Amino acid sequence: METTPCEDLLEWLYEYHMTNHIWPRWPLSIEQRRDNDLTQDTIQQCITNLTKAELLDESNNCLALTEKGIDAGRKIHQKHKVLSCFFTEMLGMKPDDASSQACILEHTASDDTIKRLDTYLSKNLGRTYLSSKTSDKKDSHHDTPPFFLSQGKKGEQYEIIAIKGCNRLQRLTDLGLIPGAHLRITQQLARSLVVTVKDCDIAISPEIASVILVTPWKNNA
Amino acid sequence: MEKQRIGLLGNPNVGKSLIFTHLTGIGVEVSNYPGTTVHLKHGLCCSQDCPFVLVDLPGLYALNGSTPEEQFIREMIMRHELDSLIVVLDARHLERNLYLLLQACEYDIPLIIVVNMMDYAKEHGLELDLNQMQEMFCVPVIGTSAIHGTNISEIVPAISAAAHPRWNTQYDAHIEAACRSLNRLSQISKKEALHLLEGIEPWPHTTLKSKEELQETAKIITAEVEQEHQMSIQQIIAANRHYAASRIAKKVVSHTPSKQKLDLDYLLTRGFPGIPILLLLLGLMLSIVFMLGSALEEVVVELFTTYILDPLGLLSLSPLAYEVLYALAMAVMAGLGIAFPFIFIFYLLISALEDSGYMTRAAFLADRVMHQFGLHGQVLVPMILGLGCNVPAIMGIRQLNTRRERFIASFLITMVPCSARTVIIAGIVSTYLGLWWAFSIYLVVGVLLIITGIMLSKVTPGTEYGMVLEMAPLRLPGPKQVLIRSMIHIREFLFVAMPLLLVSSVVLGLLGYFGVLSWFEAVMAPFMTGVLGLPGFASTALLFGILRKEMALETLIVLAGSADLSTLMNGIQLYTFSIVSVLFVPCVSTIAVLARELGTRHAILVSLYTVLLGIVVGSLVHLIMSM
Repeated sequence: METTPCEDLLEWLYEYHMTNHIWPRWPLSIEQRRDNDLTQDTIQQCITNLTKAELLDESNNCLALTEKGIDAGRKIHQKHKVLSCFFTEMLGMKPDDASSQACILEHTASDDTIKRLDTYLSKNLGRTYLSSKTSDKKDSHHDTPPFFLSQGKKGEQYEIIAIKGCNRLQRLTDLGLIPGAHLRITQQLARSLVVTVKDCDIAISPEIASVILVTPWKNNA
Repeated sequence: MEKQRIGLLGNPNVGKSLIFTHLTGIGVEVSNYPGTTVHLKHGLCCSQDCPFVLVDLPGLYALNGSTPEEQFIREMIMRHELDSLIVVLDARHLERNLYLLLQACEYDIPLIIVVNMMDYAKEHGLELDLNQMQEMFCVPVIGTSAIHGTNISEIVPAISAAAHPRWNTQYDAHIEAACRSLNRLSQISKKEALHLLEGIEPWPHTTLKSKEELQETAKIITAEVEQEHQMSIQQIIAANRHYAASRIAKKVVSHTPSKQKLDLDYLLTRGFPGIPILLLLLGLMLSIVFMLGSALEEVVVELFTTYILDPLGLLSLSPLAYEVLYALAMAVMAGLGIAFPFIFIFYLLISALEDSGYMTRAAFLADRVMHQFGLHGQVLVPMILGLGCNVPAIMGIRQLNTRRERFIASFLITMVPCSARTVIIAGIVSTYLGLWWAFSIYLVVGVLLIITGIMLSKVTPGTEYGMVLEMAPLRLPGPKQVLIRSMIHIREFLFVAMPLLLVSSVVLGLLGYFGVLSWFEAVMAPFMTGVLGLPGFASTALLFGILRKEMALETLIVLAGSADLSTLMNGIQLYTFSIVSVLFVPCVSTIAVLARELGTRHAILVSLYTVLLGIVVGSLVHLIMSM
């Protein structure tokens, strides 16, 4: 597999930075090479690949991960943690064996598998290794923090992010006011609103508007 | 052979009722289904000499909810009480309407699709490819315009071609997986599994034990899926259906950008001129009811007196029989002769307003004011209906979501001057003191209503729910539709309020016959004179007023022995009497409905409050005006 050594290097660089707070210099020292268990040639090739993928920045003779690279490194690191925790704590394997098995599986296990394992561990051990910071949903229009629809402005369009106490408000769901739906405020009187969803006008009271979390939405079409 | 039963299913305001009227004519039978409060309209129609029953189901947005209507119709379909469905969709809002259709497709019932309001859609620059839709669902799809009657005749022949739609909504992978697990556990279909996940009572044929087991499993799976998605499972399923609906709509509907928003709607929902228009409309409506009602009432009373009451006196009956018959005749006259003209005209006007789609705008405009009372805009509609008769208005508050809202609304509605109270205001205040004095009573009641509302919103426990209301499209009401709608409103008055009226009238007649009333009068006289400054016989009139509001007036006339009240009571007394009887205790029918809807304790509470209010306000008026 082509990607495996690259991912190993990525993970090693991430971990190195986490413990030493600096990026390793190129070429790597013998000690460093022993630590990451990769040959000079492989590393050389991986650096080229990672740089091409904009995960690594090797200017100034320094192997520094880009922001994207840090995210990717963290992800692999977390995968490793989840797997080795599962192997030691749940299956009773020796830490060294667990770690080396995790090293192999971390490259092939899907994100979903890891997520489920992590959920399983958090349920059984009360531990979680996946930080919420790895959210890959970071869309460009979610830049502004979400706010309640009651703070919205007339004539503006919004996307629904979440609805608090959702089960109580079945009617909202029926009318298409669900997370992900787009709406426009067409009328505003005191704090009561008329919103247009799916081309239908719906009047809602202030207390309903204040459980709907939204974020501005631009219609590009 | 039993007649086939075909259900008309659709969102509110899609023109379902209009199609129903077109297909069945005006001879409609409205029934409350046994043991429920759900209204169903039945009508007969004929397909190739084979009669079938068409059932107009209440307008729904979904089939998976927990409102009584949704639950009832869902069970009706699951129990195979309907042979097939006509699903009516609104061409202008196809995407939203498809949501209900997609749910209907998941039940084991053949259906046809009617896409109504094709003409409106065209006006708005929408082009619908119904053939495409027919191919997708493999059931007949008919485009109609019910308001012009276009293509309506094609519906009945198509019913025989009704089929199980060949449509499968694709759900999220986790939902599909959950359905498969449930299926492996107990061989239930995907539809049943979805129901379980949504928390709906499973199909009736599953045995109790496996049902509980399944529900338990479904709960565990649900929790897992919800954690995964950070959304409730209902929302996930709904999102999948909405997405499917939007994909279908994209294929079927093509826009041409000639869309122009109706400016009228924009104006109606603005603070100005929306609110002045609302007040003007209400004032206009009340004035029309007031004037036309009084004129009609006079005619009816005269006819009744000449042809029924007078001949009754000429018959040589035993005094007891005479008393009972007289009481019955009076009750019929009061109900049909006096209240009816007012109610009928009122309901005609209100039905026209409801049909025009204006009521939803009014609800939006009133939302803010209603919040001061711990209520929301939707309560405005039953409150306005209360101007006709309190009984159906109180029945209308069932749709409110929380007990707190129902509690406050029931208090306020019983204070709304119904047409029987209008009779008193018109008959006493307007006749002897003038029109402006009559309006002053409305003003006083209005102020008291506001004070009561604010007070109740402070002391009533519970949470607010708020309003989620689709704005019905604005349109010109059709006379036939308005007539049918007002007949449905009046039906509640005739079948709920009238029987109570008859019974209470006879009881009162008997009380009078056995001398209980004169004893009561003697006991109450000091109080009446001292506190309210009214003559003793007014207490009997007020007592009668409990049974039937407008009877307070008649009794007063009878007891006074003269049709000209001004000879016996002065202006202050007349005004005091009117305001007390308007405020004082809702009539027996209202109390009975209150007890049925909210419990006996609540009914007693409301009655006590209004008695106190009547006496306090009456004595205040007496004090202030005598100074």
